[in-house]
Amino acid sequence: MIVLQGVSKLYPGGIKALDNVDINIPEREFAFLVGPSGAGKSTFTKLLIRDEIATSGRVFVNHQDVGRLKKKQIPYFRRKIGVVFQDFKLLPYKTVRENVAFPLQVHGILDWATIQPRVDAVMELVGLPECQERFPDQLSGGEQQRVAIARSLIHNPMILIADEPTGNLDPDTAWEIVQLLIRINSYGTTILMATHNREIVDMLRRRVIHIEHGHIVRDEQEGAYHAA
Amino acid sequence: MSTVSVTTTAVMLLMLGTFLVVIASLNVTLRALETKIDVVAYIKDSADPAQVQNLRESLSQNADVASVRYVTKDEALSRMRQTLGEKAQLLSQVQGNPLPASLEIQLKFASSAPAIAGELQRQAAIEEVDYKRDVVDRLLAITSFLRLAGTVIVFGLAAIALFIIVNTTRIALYARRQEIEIMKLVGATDWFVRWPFIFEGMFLGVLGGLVTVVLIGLGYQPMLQRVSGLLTFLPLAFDPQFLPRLLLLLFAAGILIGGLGSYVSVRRFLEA
Repeated sequence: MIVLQGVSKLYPGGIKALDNVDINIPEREFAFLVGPSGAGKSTFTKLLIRDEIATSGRVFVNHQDVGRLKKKQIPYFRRKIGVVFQDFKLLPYKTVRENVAFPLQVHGILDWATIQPRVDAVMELVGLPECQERFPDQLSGGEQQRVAIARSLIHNPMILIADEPTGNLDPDTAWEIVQLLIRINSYGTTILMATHNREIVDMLRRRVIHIEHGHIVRDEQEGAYHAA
Repeated sequence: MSTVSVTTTAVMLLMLGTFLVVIASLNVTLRALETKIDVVAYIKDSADPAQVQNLRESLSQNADVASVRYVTKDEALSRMRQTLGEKAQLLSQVQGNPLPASLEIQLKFASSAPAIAGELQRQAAIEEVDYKRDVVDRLLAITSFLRLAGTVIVFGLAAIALFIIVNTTRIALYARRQEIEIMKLVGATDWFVRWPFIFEGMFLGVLGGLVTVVLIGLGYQPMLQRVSGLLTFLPLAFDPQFLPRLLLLLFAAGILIGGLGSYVSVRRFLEA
């Protein structure tokens, strides 16, 4: 599902964010991406959504060579991926319902009769069926992240990339969000979650990919935040 | 913010429109001056009348020629009598009629004077050709300068209006950068992001154009009368078809500048 072959990323000024990285994340997997700040986690996720292009090596997502996508193909490629961020990235002047429906509208689906059942379904899944008419600032951080997750799922992506999704949340709320992601994973969505949250990683014992200074220093199937 | 863009676009278009009015009136004036240039060809006394007749006909068929008038020897003499007035009796001292017959040719464009004069000079029936060479040269220099300057200023003003729209759109884009970022993350095509801004730019252009059209539409006639009252020596005659054409042009310019300005701005923003 996600394959990196000898991927390096060099930023102007000679900063090497990733150095000859090889990785293979199969379908339906739940993987954590851990490591200190500046280790290359964000670069990793940016390469997957073609927000950045690898300096060398090849990146495959959904069997597509991401680096070789033409500019016009990028939007259609991104429609198969869901992305969740630490800062939620919700639009403050849109209601929850409008925020969640936004990707569908962007994809050209404008008919609310088609949109509404899908919004209802994902809102049910994230556990906020009653909040559709509220605005983001009327919700708690955890609720906002649930809305962001609902938005990332509305177009049924095969992969969900979560970049520090619990970074702004208290431990209990963080735990709820991760359980939600686990549930989504159990329905078949491949999930890659970049995180600093040690408790969560240690508790779940899922695959852990540890990056430091642009290198993969550890890749364990049932890993912990730190090497045993 | 939109009020600012509409106002600036309107001001730019207004300047553009006013300038076009001035240029157009000047053009009318210059064209009027141009038709006042005559070429006079003096005919040899020995010339074959059939040849002269042929020459008259070919001249009146020439596209650059407004009119041809044949002045006989007698007419030339009587004109001279009139010019001399009381001194006309001097002419009685002269035997016969020493004045030549001539063709007085009025041109449509001053610029064709040298060519037509040269052509006539080569005719066997023609003794001498005369036209106000330095007046023509000066007039041509002035008209070509004014037309060039006019074109430069019109394009300059259009460029300024474009620049303002580009920057106004940039502010709008900056204000909505979060929305654009999310749009792109969830798979919006560039055109999906672009269209609303381009429409907005065109709409601002339309509003600016509308303001200009109303102001110039109302101000054209009074302004004209005032100017021609002040500058009586200039024949500021006006083409009645000019106003609707100008208004249409300004309106189109508003839409074009608005749309283009936004397009340029969004393109830069999406590539950054």
